[in-house]
Amino acid sequence: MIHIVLWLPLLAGLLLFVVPGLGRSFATLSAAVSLLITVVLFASYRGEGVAYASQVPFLPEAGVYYAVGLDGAGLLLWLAVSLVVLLGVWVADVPVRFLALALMMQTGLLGIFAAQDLVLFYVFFEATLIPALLMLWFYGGPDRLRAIYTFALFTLVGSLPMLASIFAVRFLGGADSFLYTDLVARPFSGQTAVLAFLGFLIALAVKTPFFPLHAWLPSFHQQNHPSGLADAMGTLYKVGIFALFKWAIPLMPEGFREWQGLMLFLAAFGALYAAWLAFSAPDWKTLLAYAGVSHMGVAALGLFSGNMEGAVGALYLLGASMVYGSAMFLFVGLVYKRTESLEILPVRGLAKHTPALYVLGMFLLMAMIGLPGLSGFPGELMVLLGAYQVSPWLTFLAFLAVIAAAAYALTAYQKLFQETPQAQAVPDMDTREWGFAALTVGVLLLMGLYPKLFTVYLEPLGKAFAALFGGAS
Amino acid sequence: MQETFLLPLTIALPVLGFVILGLFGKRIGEPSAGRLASILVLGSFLLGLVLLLQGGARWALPDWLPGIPFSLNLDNLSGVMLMVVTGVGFLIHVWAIGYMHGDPGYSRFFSYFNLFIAAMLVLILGDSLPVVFIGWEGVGLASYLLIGFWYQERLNADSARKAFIVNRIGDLGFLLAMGLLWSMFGTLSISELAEKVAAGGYSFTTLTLAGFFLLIGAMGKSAQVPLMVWLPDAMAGPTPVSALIHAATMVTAGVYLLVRHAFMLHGDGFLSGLIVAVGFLTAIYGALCSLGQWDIKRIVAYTTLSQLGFMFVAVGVGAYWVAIFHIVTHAFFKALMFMASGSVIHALGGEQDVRKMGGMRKYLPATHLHGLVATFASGGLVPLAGFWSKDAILAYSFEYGPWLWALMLFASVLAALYSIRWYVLVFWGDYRGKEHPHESPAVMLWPNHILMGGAIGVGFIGLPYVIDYKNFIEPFLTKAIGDFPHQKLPVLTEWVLIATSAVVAIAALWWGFRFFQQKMPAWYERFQVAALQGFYADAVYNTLLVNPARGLAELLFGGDKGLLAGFMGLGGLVGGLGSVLTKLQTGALRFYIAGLVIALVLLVGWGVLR
Amino acid sequence: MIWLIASALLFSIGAYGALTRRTAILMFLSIELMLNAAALSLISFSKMLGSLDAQVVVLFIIAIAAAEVAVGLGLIVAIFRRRETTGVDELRQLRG
Repeated sequence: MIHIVLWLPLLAGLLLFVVPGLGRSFATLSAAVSLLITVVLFASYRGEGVAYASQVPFLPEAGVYYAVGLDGAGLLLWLAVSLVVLLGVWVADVPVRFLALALMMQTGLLGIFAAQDLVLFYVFFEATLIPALLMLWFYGGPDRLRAIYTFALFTLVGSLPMLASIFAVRFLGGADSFLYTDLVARPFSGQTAVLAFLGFLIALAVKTPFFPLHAWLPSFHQQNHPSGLADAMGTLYKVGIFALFKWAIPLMPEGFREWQGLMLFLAAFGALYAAWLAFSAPDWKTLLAYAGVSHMGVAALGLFSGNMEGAVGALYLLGASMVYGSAMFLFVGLVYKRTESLEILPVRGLAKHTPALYVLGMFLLMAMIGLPGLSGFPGELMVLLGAYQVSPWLTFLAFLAVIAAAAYALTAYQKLFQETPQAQAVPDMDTREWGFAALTVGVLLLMGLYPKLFTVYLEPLGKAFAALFGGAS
Repeated sequence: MQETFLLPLTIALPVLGFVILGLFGKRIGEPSAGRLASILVLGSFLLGLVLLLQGGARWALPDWLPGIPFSLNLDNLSGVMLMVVTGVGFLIHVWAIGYMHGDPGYSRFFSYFNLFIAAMLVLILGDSLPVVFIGWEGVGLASYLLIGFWYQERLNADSARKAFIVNRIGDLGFLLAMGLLWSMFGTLSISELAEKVAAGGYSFTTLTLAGFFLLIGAMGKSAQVPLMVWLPDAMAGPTPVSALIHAATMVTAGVYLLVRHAFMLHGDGFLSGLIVAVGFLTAIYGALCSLGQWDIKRIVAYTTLSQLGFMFVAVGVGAYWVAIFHIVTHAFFKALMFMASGSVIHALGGEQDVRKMGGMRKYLPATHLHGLVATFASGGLVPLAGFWSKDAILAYSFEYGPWLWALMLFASVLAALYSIRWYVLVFWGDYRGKEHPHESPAVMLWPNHILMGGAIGVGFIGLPYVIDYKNFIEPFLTKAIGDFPHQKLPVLTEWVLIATSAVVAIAALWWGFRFFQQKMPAWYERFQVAALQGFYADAVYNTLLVNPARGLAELLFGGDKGLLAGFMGLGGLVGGLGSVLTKLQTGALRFYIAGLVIALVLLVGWGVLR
Repeated sequence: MIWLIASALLFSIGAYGALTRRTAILMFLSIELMLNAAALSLISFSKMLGSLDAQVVVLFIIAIAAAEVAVGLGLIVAIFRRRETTGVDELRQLRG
């Protein structure tokens, strides 16, 4: 079952790319099937650690296996990815080949979360870059070449140290293979471990993105196609927190300890810095880019606290922000469809013409700024509870961002939807968009009001994580 | 106390209203939308009343988040608040059916109004602090939506945004309090916290810090100085919103939060002093500003600010049940004051400047009666409701220190003055405008009648002990708040205090009645200029906080671009290194050979010397 | 022993020639000289140490030298046809 979900999108995407005549409905069908099976997998999960595991030797002499499996975190993120892909291919106003690329990227993303072998993880990690670059190249804006250079160089140059660290962890740590189970059994310590952790950190700091290696993100989002689909996929690609949680920290807990103080500071600072900056953003894509950096900063703060609450919060926030971040980009795409522009300053007062869109945007915005009752809050609360135990001051610093978030979100939204309505009427949501709205709002409310559904599986993972540091933090 | 799902049902009813009216409001239309919303609120009221009479109720969903249940608790304290919110809320809903007549967003209004009630109930009934926080921010959201209800006007949208952002500052305090309490006690359920605090074994300074954080949160929500700047601008919303949210209920949430945590505040000298200071400052600030306003709603808004200050002082001096008592009486007379103002605005076709009012007692007899009662209750005229709760605050202040009593007495004088000023400018004298005022329809009068009854009579549930009439509310509330026994004042002192308050109130009201009818003397006009601007609080905030924040945002934005340029510069560095190295590629053969030879010599030399 | 010194001398002359000669042919000649100097030193080592491996290497060197000369001279002729000159200082097109 797991293999179907994992490889179906790639195959469907390839097919669609070659035969675009199959149309959007084919893509939507594939995405829907993926989501459905993922929901079934989730529903059948009983909390037994890594489930649906499967392991096939790939290069046994080198210790590389094709090993996949899902635990609570993996399932949550699979749900997020599948949901967003469905939303994206359903509602984005793009050529069919674009949808095909998105589907191909889905396999990469699912693979990152399901990989139980470190080399396999790296393969998926890097391979997912290709569709993202292609989407930017074929469908990006006028200045996309610079954006591609920046994005590609940051990611690739960042990943090289990680590759070196991967080998260091296995061979200097003395594990038998690259399997997760083997690597975790022999954690890697010592001076070299500190350097090896840095290797992972650099790559994942680019991927999270984490201040100050976030500089590639604004141009990436600005140059992507205004429908928001590539941006949504890019938001899903923000796997840094997950990779730190699953691979980097458990494999080198001592190494992590050395860097912990600095990273906590950068996380808190980055969260506030990005939120503050977002206020000056001239267009929606830039605003959302910085908002994303801010949320990841908060999640990172939780993760680096090294306790159960922080880890659970970080993972939950990651899943939640994947959903509302991507949905927000798609929403902006819907606005673009009607206004041909993504600038914030012009007053359009769209609420008069598109009240339903206005309400949808309000839900998404409120989720994004962490309104309790919507999906952003449980994660943020758990991060707060975890981080406060480790550093009250940094927690204060990071959570000043909630004030900044309200400021940038509402100010921008006011110009777009409130104030004097523009003379030209634009259509309100059509059926597809209503479907998108219903599904998104439903998930936001579900994640916000009944987090137990997921946290019951995240809690043991968080406890195991905290145990790496002797239980105390 | 029973565990029952009926308790969340009280919340579910207005949520249902929010959803139904939100999705199908346009189809339901006037006036059914308003009726539906009102009936749902009435349903919550009745359900809550029944549960309260049965001795309370609980409901919990364990492990909603790891270690944190989703729990609700209806005890005497939350019960009283629930009665106020849903009871007065119901009356205001009914009133709004008439007031919002003809507005294109009629159903949307009632949808949001129901959302507010639902969120407020979550806030009140929450036993687990994150649940309270859901309601806390939820009412902030409803407030935002309702203040900016007519968002097509930029001013309204700005006011709504300002309210939300300033509230968020307070919310940060709430969040930090949760963080601290979790790290101290490992639980966020208020009932468990009360037990653990009583058990002892923690640092008192840390507990003070937690109380301080909660205070920040309360200050934001209850518009205390210095987080009060959002409340006057909140008047941009429709009058029912001002009456319900910014007078009777949401703004009292801060007081409620503090009373709920009385076990944390009690006995803490620093916090008590701080709360008293903040409350007193707010009471005076609100009073002085009110005396300078020309917009009828802003006049009343500042009076609310002042009364909230009184409530905070009550909390600070340890008179927790009195603070709640004052919430109850204040809900009645302040809502009445707002709604009477609303009736006048409605009668004059939207006029809000009191300079164009006056003489309304001739045109609007029923509303005039409402306004008169509201004035007397607000001014603290015996034996109306406002007198008894304010007098209780004064009595407890006297125990705290007679100097505080004197200060609070001064504040009461101001309260009487601003109340009577409102009355005189609106209802007395001759009409200074040009409209044709007409009385409100019955649907708007009846809720006011009921509120008037409350403003007159509700004080009698909390009479001072020296009067031989049972004080119902004190034991009722103390059962839930916690027993903090205090020395009762001697009988004579108590009577003297009561008499002084009564006489002072009457004198102030009478003096104000004469003073505000005449032309204002020069010193008052000068005072008024400053008071009108809220003593320039907005300007101060803009200069010190808002503009520097924006400037910093611009700066950092440019800085971030520079950061990217810096990374690109790194790339350029590599390129530069490359161009230096290409200089080695001369193309000249002899140069290459020379290089080979030199390298050979060096290698051999190294090999030999090793 | 003396043969080692001889080969070192030969090598130096070859190196000097490679560095100072301007024409391609003479430079080539100098390189050949260096190659043969190396072969000579290998032979003398073989004699000194009694090992036959060095002599095998010398055979390799001779073969390689022959091949290299063939290719090299062919290149020089081709260049001369194109550029009318074999002065190495003028042949600089492969610069970075």
